[in-house]
Order: sequence, then structure tokens, then C-alpha cells
Amino acid sequence: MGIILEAVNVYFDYVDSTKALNNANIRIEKGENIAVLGPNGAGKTTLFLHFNGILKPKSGKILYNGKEISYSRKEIVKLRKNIGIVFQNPDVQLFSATVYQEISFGPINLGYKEEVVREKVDNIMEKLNISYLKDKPTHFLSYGQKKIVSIADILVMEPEVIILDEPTAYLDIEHTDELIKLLDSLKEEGKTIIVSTHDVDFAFQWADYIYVMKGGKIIKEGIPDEIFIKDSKVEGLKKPLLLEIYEILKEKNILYKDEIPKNIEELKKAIK
Amino acid sequence: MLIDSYAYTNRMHFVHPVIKIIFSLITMLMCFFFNVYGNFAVILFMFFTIVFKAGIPIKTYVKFMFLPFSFLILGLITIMITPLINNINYVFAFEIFGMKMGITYSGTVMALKLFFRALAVVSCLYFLIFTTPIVDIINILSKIRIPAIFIELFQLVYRFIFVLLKEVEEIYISQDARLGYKNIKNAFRSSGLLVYSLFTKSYRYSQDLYIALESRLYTGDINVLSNEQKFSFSNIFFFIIIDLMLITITIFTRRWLQ
Repeated sequence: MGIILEAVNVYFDYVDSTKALNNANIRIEKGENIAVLGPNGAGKTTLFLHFNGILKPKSGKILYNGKEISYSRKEIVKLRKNIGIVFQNPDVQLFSATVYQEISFGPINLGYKEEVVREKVDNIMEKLNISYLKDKPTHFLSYGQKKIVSIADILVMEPEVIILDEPTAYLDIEHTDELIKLLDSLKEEGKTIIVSTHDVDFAFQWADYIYVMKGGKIIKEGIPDEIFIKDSKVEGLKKPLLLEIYEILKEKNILYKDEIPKNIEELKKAIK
Repeated sequence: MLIDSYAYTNRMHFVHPVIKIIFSLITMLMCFFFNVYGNFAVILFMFFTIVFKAGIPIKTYVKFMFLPFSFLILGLITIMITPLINNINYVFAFEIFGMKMGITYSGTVMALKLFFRALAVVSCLYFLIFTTPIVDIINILSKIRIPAIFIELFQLVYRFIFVLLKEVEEIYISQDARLGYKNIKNAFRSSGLLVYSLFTKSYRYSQDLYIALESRLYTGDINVLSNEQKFSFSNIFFFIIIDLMLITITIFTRRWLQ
């Protein structure tokens, strides 16, 4: 499908001279589910902020659709429209008094006419089943609802790439399931989705490709099976529970399939 | 933040905010021309509208009506007590530093008038804030072309009051759980730390917010769309009737005051 986003030898340090990115290299394939794993402070968020031009690398370059970003006003607008970031804390992202106003902020900034904005906002609220929140003030929402609204904020701008910064943190099971369903439907639309997470079980089941970050660089990358199958203690990664069970069962020789199962159902079928 | 939640859930929140604002302001203005009976009627009418039409619990409303009392009583006492110079007919008198002070009949009447007028104005204001969400008021302000900077500030301050209040609550609980408010000494220290951490946190919040806004193409103006609301003539009619009744009451009770 082609590479949509690429970071080449990116270095970045913050004002207090902590090295946030230290020669980071990453290639995001179009239409794939990408998971970025890594401990807190590994530089995941910093990397994401490079992708939509909020931060500029100290050295190295960011490529969008194979072209290096020039940071001109016009290109920044295009970049931010097409690469949407859902931030970790929805309380920081939601600034408006009501849900409707909140979601309308992005499309208005894109310069659409009022009727078009209304249509887009209504559509996205319907799609995410949050139409009933329309007139609700933002501060009355539960955490899960805030999260969904913060995703609607971004989706309404119709980006090609959606970056979610630890979307499942603090989220209850019901909302997490809803979120995963939503991500699946976005993939079907051909969107590229990048998720940073600590949840190895989620990453193992969901991602097409996984990057592991530590100390501001990518220390490991590959498809989920490769990432976890070898001894991954070195990278500080926990093995997904499913994989661990699979390996035990395989050792005891009670599996008749050699394929690595992706979910419980597949594992069940593989047992003799 | 009880009032705020009532503003969104009361039975009159769907009434067009312009009608409510105009009604509240006009009635407030009329309070300055009304006599005691007129103002008393304003208090009663507002009470009935807020409690029965908007559905705010009586207990809550009465509690809020008592809020201004401490200020009001203090203010009234200073008006009632005047120096007695020509020994005009006083109700009650005492001497302080060789000066004769006392409560006169006219002073009492004045205080009474003021008391009802103040409460009437307050109940008009309560009508507005109990029935109209701040969001709607912000909307109207932007429609009458108040400078954008004020409206954006209003909007952000309103939103972040709640974010910071939640923060305060969480910090307070976490301090209290570690005996931060066991005695006065601890309490002073803890509340100082609370303010300090709140300050640094709100600074961080503002920076993160800026990044989040920039990601959605913020260029210095916050432009958002709000829901459309419709005028309803039956509501306008209702408010006009109330104001007409108030005026009639004032006119008819004029002779009782002479």
C-alpha cells in the first residue's frame, strides 16, 4: 500500500535537555494497525507530536506520503487535517462547554461552511452513538464518554491517520470493547491507526505491526508473533497471556495446530 | 456547582435564552421603580416560576434565597441606625461616645423598602441562573458582538473551573487520607501545598491544551457552532403576562402607601 508516514533519524530534546528522541526511525504502512509499546517516558508522545508538525526535529526528517515536511503554513494545515491525534487525557483536549461546540471546532477551522459543519458533526455523532450527548455540557460527561467525544473531535476532521495516545488507560471494559470495535470499523474504511499502549494483550491481538520504543528510539519492530515469541525480557515486555498459554500447551503436546492463535476462540479450536 | 447542574436539567432550559435574559433584565429594572408591594410580588412570582414551572426543589431555592441575607442584614442595620440630631420621633435610641444614635421610623421604612427591593432583584437574577445554562448565555453574548477575547476567556474559564475543581477535590482527598488536615498546623501546610500544586498543574494544563488545540488547527480564534434554538410565542406570552401583572399590582397598591 505504501508508506504514509516516516521518521528518519529523528533527534529531539526538550528545553530541560532530556533526550526525548534519540535517532528514532519508524515507517508507518498505509492502512495498517500499528501499536507502539514502551515504558513511560520512552518518547512515544513526543514522536506523535512530530507526526503532525507540532514539534520540529532537532535533526533528521519526517516524511508524509514520501515527501519531506517543509513546515510551511499550508502544509501544516494539510498535515494536521490528515493526521489526527487523540490525546491521552480527554480533560485536556476538551475545552468547549458543550459536546456539540467541541466537535464543531475542528471542521470550522478547516474552513467549511456552517451547513457542512453541522452535517459533519451530526454524522460523526450518529456514527459513534453519542447523539444523545449533543447538548450536554462537557463537564457532566463520564470519563468514558469524554474519551469517545475526544475521538469524535478528531474523526470529524476525516484524517487519513489516527493516532491514539494510550486510549485504553483508565477506560472500563465496556468502553474498551466499544473502542476496539470502532478501531476495527475505521480500519475497514482504510484508515491508518497508530496506538500507543501498555496493554500487550491488546497489542498482540489487534496490531498488524508493532514498534517497541525505549530511551527515545525504536529498539524492536515486527509483526506481533515475532515480537513476543522470542524471549522478550530484555526489552521489558511482558508476554501476552494468550501466547504464554499457547506455549505451555504446545510444550505439553496437546495442540494439533502449529499456528499461533490470535484469540481465545482460535486457541480453543487448536486444542486436541 | 449545584446551580450549574440545575441550569441544564430544569424544565425551562429549552426556552430560548434571549427570552429569559430579556425577561430577567426587564423585571430587574422594574424592581427599581416598584413599591414595596410590587417588589414583594416579584419575589413571590419568581418563586412560583422557579419552583413550579422550572421544577427547582423548594428547599434548594429557599437555601439560595438565604445566601444574600448576611450581607443584607448588615447593610440594613447601618441604614436603620442614624444619629439623632433634632430628637425626631425615634423608635429606639442609645448613646455612644456622647452621641445619640437611634432607629427612626423613616429609617425603618427605608430599610424595609431596600430589603424587598434587594431580594426582588436577587430573585430575578436567580431566575436567570437557575434556568439558563452558562453556555447559552455565552452564545447570546457572542451574538450581540461582545469582543471575541472576552467570550473565549469566559468559555475557557467556565470549562476549566470544573477541571480544576475536580483537581482540588482529588488533591484534598489524597492529603486528607494522609492526615494532612489532622490539626490546624497540618491544615495550613496542606492547603498551601494544595494551592501550589494546583498552580503548577493548571500551568501544565494550559500548555497541554494549547498543543491539543494546535493539533486541530487552532490559529488564535476559538470558533465553534452552537445548537439552534427556536422562539416559542407561548413562552413570550407567559413572561409578558407576569410583567403586566407586576405593573398592575404596583399601580393598584400605590394608594395604600399614602
